Amino acid sequence: MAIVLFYILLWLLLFLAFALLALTQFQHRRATGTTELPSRRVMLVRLVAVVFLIMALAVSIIHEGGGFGSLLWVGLMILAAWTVAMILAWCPQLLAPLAFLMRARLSCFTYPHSRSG
Amino acid sequence: MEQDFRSSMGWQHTWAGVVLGSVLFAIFWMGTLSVFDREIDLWMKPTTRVAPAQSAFSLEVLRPSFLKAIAAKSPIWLANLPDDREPLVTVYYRAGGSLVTTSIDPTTGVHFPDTGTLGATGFIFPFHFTLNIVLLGLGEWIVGLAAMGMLVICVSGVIIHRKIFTEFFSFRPQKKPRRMLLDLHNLSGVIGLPFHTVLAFSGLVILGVTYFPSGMKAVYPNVGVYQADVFGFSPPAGPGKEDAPVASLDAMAAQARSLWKGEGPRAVFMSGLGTTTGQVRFIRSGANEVSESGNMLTFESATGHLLPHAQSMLPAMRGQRFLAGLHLIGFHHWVLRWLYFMLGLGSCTMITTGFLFWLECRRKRQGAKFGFRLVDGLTIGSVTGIIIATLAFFIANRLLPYGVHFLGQERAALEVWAFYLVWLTTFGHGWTWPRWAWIGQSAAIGVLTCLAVLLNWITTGDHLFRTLTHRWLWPVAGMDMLLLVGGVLALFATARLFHRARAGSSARPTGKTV
Repeated sequence: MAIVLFYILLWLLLFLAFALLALTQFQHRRATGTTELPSRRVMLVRLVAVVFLIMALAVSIIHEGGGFGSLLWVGLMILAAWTVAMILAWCPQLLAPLAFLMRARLSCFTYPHSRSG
Repeated sequence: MEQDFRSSMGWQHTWAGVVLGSVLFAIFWMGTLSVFDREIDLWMKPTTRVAPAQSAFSLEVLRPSFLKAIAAKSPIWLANLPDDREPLVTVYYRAGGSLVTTSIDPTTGVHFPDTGTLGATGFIFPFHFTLNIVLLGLGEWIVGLAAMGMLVICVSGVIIHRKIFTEFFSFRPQKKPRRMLLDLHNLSGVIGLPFHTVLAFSGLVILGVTYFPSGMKAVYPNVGVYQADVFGFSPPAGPGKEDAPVASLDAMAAQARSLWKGEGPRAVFMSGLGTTTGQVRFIRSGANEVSESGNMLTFESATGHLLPHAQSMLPAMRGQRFLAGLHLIGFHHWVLRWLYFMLGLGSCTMITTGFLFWLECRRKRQGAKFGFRLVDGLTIGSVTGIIIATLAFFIANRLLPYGVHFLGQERAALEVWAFYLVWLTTFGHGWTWPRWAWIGQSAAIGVLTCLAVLLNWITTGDHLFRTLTHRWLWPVAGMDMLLLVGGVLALFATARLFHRARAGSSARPTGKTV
């Protein structure tokens, strides 16, 4: 059971990474009913998404070994990207909370005088 | 200049896709099914649906089998040992010019009767890389050409995609068919690109010696010596005196296990059977690694002495073995196995949508032309046709009585005939009634999948409730459930296509002029 949970969590991490990447694009933000992100926030979100992808690869290799880990990462990554695309096509509202969250003010990344975010 | 390059790549992508698409779909469809070849075997060979052995078994139960092979003067004897996907030992040897295949219960040594089918391991998997064309190895060459074409198509597809990042996640099902098809083609092509390219490339690497034999021929006198060198086993010995005994296989297996740090063999191969120079080769399981290690240990069959073997593999060979293992999925990893299956279906989607986009772009302008109708029928037969033919293969397996002969053909051959005849019919149907062929063939898939599940229940008594409640029958349950899911999707597609065709017919002018 624990192993199944591991695969689900790994997939969720990859799904989150791809959802973040997709929701930095204007057409997908419009589909979720949210406004466009400032360019600095776009860069930040994309960086976070890349970190998630690398984290997923590291976790996968640590847990499964180099061979199985890398294959699993690629396979789950493709599946996660497909899922994001299908949700955006048929039910983009499901990603609206995440899209709103991406606009949230982050004090550690924002100067007091800044209006961005 | 850039525009010229892009348009030339577009031309290449389009026409290589149209020419190779049918072969590529057949290769990917059969490859996708081959991911679960042994599970399909269990479905097609009901007599082999037995609970796996609970304890370790003695290889001596196989002695009567190889003694039979010695009596039949077979040059080889091969036993695939049971694992978590297969409960029985499968033995192969030659007798009187034909290949004998027997299933043996590893705990009792009971020989199972002939299953009367090639199953997935005997038909679907070889079809994947030979197209079942054995003449001059032509099938392997066509598959190699298609794989090479696939790599080129993938590269040119990336070059001609104008918005590869902007539309990375774009799929707009509510748009017009042409836009929707292009979206789906791009999506399945770009997202699945690592899978398409790595699988095509590793397929070429596996059959590299067939396609590029000059390197091997320059160094080795023949394939046997080449294989012995790269896989690290002793080369086959010359002919010896007959009537030599065969030493204990258990003792040899124990020695192999200790050298492999507890890992067991997945197969035992014997050559020079019953002679003083005969050899027994144990092939390492490799279930816990991606690499198709192919580690082998060779023993003298008469004495049981271990022959010299290479301790390590050359780096190039290790790379080749990793790519081969990645493609052949000999390892035991259920999540990866299901991922391969789904990604294989993704590749089939990419090929299908490529075909459909080509047709949709030309339907209005060239719909009545011979070339268009040729590709239209070819697409129908290649996509829905091969799926229907596969279902016909399964249904024939459940309907044909054991031991049946017809026109000099045995049961196993008749199943293959059913496949080809139905496939040919679907092409004919596609060319004759292209307007209704997609609807008709989708409906046929829906009906035939349900029929296959029903026939499995009627002929074996293994209905879904029973197969789901017995662990060793889960592969049969999985096959039944996939058939049912596929059937529901096909019927849903039929309803949508029918609705669209009706709407199109009513919207079309009646032909009267005012």
